Amino acid sequence: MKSSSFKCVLLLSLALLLAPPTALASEGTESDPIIVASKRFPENYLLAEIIAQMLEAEGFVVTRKFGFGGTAVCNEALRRDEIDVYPEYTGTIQAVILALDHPLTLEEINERLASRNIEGLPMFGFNNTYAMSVRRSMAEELNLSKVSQLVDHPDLKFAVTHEFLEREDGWPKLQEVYGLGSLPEGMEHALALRAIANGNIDVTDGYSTDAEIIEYDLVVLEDDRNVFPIYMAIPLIRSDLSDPVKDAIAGAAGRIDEATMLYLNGQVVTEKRSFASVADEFLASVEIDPLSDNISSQRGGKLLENVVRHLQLTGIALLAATVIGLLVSVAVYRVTWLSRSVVYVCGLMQTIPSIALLALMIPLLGIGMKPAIAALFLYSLLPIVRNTVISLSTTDPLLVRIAEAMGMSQIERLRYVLVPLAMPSIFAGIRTSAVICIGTATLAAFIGAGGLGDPIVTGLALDDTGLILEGAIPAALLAIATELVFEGLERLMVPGHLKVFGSGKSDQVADTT
Amino acid sequence: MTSDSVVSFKNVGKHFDDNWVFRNLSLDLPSSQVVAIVGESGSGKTTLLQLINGILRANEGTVEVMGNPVPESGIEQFRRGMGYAVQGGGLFPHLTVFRNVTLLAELERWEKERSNLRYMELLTMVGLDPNLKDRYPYQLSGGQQHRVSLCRALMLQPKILLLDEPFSAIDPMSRGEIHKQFTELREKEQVSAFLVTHDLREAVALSQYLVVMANGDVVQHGSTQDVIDQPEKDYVARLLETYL
Repeated sequence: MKSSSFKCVLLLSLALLLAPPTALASEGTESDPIIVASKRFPENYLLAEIIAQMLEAEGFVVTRKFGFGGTAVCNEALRRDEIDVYPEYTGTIQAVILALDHPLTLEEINERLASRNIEGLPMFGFNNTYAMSVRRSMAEELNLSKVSQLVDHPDLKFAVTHEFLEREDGWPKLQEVYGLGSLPEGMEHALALRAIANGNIDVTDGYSTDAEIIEYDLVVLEDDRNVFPIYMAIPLIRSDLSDPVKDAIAGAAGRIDEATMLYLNGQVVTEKRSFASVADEFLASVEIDPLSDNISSQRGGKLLENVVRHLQLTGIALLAATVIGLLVSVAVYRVTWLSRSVVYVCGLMQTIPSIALLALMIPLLGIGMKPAIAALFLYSLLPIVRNTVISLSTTDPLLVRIAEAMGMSQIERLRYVLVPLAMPSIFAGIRTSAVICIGTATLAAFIGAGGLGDPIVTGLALDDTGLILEGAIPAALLAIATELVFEGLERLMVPGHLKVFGSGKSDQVADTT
Repeated sequence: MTSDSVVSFKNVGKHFDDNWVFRNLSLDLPSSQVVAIVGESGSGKTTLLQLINGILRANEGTVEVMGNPVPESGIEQFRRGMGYAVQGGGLFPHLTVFRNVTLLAELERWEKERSNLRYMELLTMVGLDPNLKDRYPYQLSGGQQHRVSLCRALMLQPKILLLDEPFSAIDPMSRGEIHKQFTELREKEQVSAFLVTHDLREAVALSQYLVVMANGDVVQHGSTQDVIDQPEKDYVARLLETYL
């Protein structure tokens, strides 16, 4: 009875997991949708949405994959033909993608990108360069207007984005040219803006077209020694796209200047309008008429889709980690040095920061669900393997000897004695893994895997608490639901007196030694 | 091997790391009786028992069971022909009384009916209520656990029963009763029992054949009555004096 109802549950969950695996299918041929991607900050979302709507206006089918976790992810995805176009900046291409330290024209960029099957289309028309900004009140108080004056105020607290901290044309060059002091903290841009508004930090990096400059009443300090390169926005595409597609994407070339971009960014960030409606308004103003029937004024609203995707990501990863973790544990638990090594290796996986692990997966598995599942799988291994190995290798030696003396084979001993006795620990391990998985899966949105991380990432980019909660609350509920499901499964499969968090009868278990 | 010997040790040597438990040990043990192996801790009596079912392997010489050496392959089937019960019962805490007793029958793919009948028969013989079947070991008294353990060892109707101090954790009051039940059970099942114990009184009460071990040597062996009547060495005489 018990085992058959368990099998039912197992089959049901398998069916649910494998039901709509559309995202796992690969793209490629001409008739397929054009995949438009973006990095995860509002302006990039907005430019991507504008590109998408221009394509749709010309009758092309578009798939939007917005909110990728940075230049490296987008560029790798473009090189691997996983996406077709995303908005990029000339300065970023020069410094990050081509690793050159002198500015390039668009022609020079395209000469160098030709061998990679990547091409930059004509510029949108505005320069979104780095800008160091401070609170207006503080700028007035300290009489600050230029970056070079920062060196006179060594007590000011700096926090900049991780990317700015690392890239050569960012913090390192700024520090060198202006002689600035110690290393600043690395912080998410949206969080840094909140921190500067609250007075927790004093100086942060930003972009010259950031809507937040107006919203948070900041002052951009003049780059009086011309450290920052020129960052002209362009659509970066796969060069084998057809000419009509290229023409459609280039439709807004030269039509967005700094003032327009600041206004559009403000509409999204400050006025909380959807990317789609702001892009629609812009395109109407430049007389490109998008197919307006699918313009949504809502920002989120894909809750069910996100939850299902989230369950797929975590479910597949957890299932694989459980199966492989148990098999590996059973194979190695009797050899101390081997089982220790396995646990160490699993532990090592856990020390790799989630974003880094996700990024490491891209060269191997591209973007989307596959690398996300692989990363989640690696994260889930440790609790399962460690609990299983420890509880298998610490089974009461008397019971092991009796099972052997009774004439049970190695497999029978595992099946009827060792594994059932280890079950409470194994369950605890799987439960821990499940909760870690559900939490970490929110980061999968950075590499285009979707799930409940999608609204969180977009919400972070937009500083939209409502949108962040739209992902965070279901994720938390999912974690609780998972706990309950596992409690139920454990009740079915483990006798009460053996449970880890059981009925408190464990102190009555007979002393068998 | 004498005609009625069921277990023979032939020039057997066994060591752990650099320490020899015994060397050159030769011994024929008779069948259809209770053979008690007595001796102090460390005398090698448990080692002797575990050489019989191949839990331990001899480093020298051979151990023969019913005329054949302890096999290298197919050891599981070989062991299923021998019951095994230890001090404290050693019941599996995650299995009910019924499954503890019938687990081997399940592995042998016995018919459910046959398992049930055998289970009822065994529990009745040791004076337990068969309705205990759904209880877990922690819900039983120490004496009940030992009886269940004995039933488990006898489930497949083995010809040989290996017992490692099975009754030593039981309080003296119930020990007498369990001894009586054990004797009846053994006779009914016609099983050759090898009983390791440090309790000479228990050995004398239960066995027909006695092996006295000390420091890895068999000091004396023979029918229990003979050993009591004619101790061959001072050690045996002192032992008998101290305990009886």
